[in-house]
Amino acid sequence: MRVYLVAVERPGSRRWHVSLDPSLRADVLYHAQRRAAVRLWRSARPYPLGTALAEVRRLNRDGRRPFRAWRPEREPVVVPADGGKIGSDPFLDKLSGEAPGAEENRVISGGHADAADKPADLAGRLTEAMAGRSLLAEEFESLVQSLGLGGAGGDWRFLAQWGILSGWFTLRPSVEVAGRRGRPLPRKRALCLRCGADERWMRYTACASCGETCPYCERCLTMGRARACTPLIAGAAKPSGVAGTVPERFVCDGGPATGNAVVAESDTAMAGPSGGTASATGERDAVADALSAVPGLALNPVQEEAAREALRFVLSSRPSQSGGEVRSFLIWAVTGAGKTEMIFPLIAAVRARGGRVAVATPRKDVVLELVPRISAAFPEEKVAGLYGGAGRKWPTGGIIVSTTHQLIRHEAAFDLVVLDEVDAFPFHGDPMLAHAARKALKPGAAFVMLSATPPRDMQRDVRRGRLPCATVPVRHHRHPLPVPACERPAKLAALLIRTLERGAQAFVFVPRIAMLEPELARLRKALDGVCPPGRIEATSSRDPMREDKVRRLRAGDIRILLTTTILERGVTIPKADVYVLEADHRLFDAAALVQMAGRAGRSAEDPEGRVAFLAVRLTREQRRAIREIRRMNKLARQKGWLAKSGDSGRRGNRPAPESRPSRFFGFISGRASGQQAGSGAGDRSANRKGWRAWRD
Amino acid sequence: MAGLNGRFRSLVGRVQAALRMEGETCLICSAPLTAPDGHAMGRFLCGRCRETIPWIQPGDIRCNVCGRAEECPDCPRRVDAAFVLNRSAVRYTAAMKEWLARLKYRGDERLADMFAAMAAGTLERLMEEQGFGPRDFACLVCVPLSEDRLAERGFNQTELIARRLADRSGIPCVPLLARTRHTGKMSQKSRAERLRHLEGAFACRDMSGRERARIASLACRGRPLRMLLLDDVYTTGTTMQECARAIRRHFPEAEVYGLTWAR
Repeated sequence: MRVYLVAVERPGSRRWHVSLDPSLRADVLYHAQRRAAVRLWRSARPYPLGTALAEVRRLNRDGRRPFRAWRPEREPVVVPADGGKIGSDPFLDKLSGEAPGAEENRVISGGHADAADKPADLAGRLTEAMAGRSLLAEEFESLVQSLGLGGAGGDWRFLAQWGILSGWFTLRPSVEVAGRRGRPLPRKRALCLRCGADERWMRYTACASCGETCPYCERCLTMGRARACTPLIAGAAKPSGVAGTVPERFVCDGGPATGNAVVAESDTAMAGPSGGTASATGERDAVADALSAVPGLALNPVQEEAAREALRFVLSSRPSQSGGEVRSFLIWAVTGAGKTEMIFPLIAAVRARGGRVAVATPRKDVVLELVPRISAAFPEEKVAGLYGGAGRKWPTGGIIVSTTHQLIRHEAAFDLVVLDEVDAFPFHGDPMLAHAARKALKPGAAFVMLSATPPRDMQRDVRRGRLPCATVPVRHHRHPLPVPACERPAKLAALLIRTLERGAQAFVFVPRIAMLEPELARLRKALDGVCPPGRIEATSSRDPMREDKVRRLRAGDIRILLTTTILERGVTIPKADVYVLEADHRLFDAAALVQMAGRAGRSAEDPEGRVAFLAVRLTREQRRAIREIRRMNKLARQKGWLAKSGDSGRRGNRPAPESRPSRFFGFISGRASGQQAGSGAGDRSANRKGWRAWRD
Repeated sequence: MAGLNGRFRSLVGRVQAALRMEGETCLICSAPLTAPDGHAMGRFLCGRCRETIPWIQPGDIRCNVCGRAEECPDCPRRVDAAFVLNRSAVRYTAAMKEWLARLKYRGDERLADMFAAMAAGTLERLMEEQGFGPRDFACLVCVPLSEDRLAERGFNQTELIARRLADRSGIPCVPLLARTRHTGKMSQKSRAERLRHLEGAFACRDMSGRERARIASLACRGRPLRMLLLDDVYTTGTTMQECARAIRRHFPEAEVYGLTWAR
């Protein structure tokens, strides 16, 4: 868009700025309200936004300079010292909530419980909605409309300009072009201020909004078009006590935390490496309080230990570390470890100090699943879910659950960003999302990353001590992870029959979508008479019925589901076995194999689902996956975290299982057929032996 | 000198990479593209996305006036058609709607190239069908946007397609039309509303007598002044009718043919 340059002339000084409001109404009203005697000079013609902003910077830097670079209009707008008649404007009254009607409204709404944290005036609502956001002009317009402000076209320009003058918002071009103006064939260096893309992602096209050739960013195009002449309006985030201040005692007014402030934890468990000082005591209190802040949250000792370490890390945030590298912490928790529960204390701790939290996950369905869970854990909080296709709504709250893409619309907004599944598509290997996540953090704030299969470079950083990490090697039910067996592909039908006989469901993973149809037909035929064909289904990313099929799988209607890696994460079926076809395919790396194996044995009722890699050869990735699973089981056993007799909750008196699959149990002939989940513990061990028996 | 040499070499490398289509991805699904296989859309689309295009083949055309692949209720109703006929490249299915929205609303201007390539095939067939030679069309005219909409969007999608089509076909693109008033979104209106709203919504730009004469002289000697009117979507034909009428008001001798990307 094109904007006017404005010179604000006071006796003895002249400052330039850019006005988004072409009529200068916002500028005039702003100065009139401040009773400033000024003269406003507007440029004779509007300029492209990027050019205008660069020019203003130059003019202001050079100090008092006569009008030369641009020609102002002949007559200035004179704002007298007493504000004059222009000082009162119906819209302005509405904005600051000083209209006679607004006063009454405030009194009435004062009786309501929410009134305290919801300012009655529109300006307050606008700044609150914009806190920590960084929006393109059209997004700002939509936000203004969703607040019921604006109305007739052009009003968003007034509000934006008003907010910029008042210091609520900052104005930048969404793509910044460095390089001197007017040079022939300049080597331009454009930078997308929203997603951080550089020149390589820019496309220069003729732009009818500014009348010049201006670049737009192709990298973040799916999130709206960032152009050199499009304003990027960022709202200042509310300051919070998290980064920098000495931790305060966790206070939750009337909250559930005051009731059970006593923490039944031994001091030794809590003594951190830096115990002893006064602030360490405060920190320790904060840690303990945060752990008990969520009512009904039952963490097992392993989860609690990891949560505590992460809490110490989060609470030790200091602004002095701003500007440098981003501080991150990794929670390396095996599949089914209960990662979501572990982050609840972190959220509680940051919220207790008034900080804002974002939980970012790669997928929209996870957002939809997390919002109710977090709302239930924090009944007093406003939890906002952000994802693509959420409509033109701009929810805000102290806790934001969003897809990683949505973080791009935030800037310096959060005191804690939890990145779920950091290794998953699309986050891993996408510099745009990494930039978005970094940008969303306040200076000195921290990332907490969650992963069951961290990428190799991250693992290396952990080993070298560069990345603080808490490992959770055991699942929430504290049974070891099922270790995959390696089988010949021909045995699939036989294996599936076993699965069906023990009343379990099965995932059959294939590497390519094209394999689904033939495999489905083959399996339906092979299992004819054992399982009705309608209960064997296949799904993939290209299947329009996917959500329905997953729902039917959850309901138990579908017994065997053939799928690609699309379902390697996120779907939890209590009693399920996992078979990976063509496990030697190059698309299946160790992480994918571990994730797929992690679909089995998720519940305490059936902690030992079966996992088999069906392939003609044993690849390095398969070995790596098995080694990784065994390593975690070993670690859990060494630490004594595996469930012992009487310790595993509902299903007791079972010895710690020997988790390594052995190929030498062929002589045990007990078959597992017909044994159901409801059978006792003794049966279960027979069940296990049976699994080995028929496997070999 | 070394720098120039280096730059030249990097240019050669880049040209080679471009010929092998290295790093090129499908404009729709971002899948990597393979080496060219002679398909007209091969530069833009992967094999799977190509197959989703619902082309209107010459054999599909049921209405000879508007080039529709279905029974046409609109054309027989029109008493004074200002345009001769219209041809379209694809059916306006849900998928095509999405593609066009990507260009129009998301601003993915790369798609304009592809749409022009798609329309170019249809233009070729139209000329073949009518027995036109390469110079039979005097000029290419595109349906304009209103000033407000143009400033808001930053580009006129039809013009983007028209310019690229002009490059491909050699027919000069002439900015002839302007919108006299803002009419709101056509896509949300019924046929009757469109008729009412669009009546007189277009006019030829103010032009000097010399300019007019120059455009009139684009026609080859002895041939009528044939103009090709380009639009993105042909729905009821109202836009095309109004634009053609506006052209004929200025150039009564003109024969207006329509070409749209979707129908």
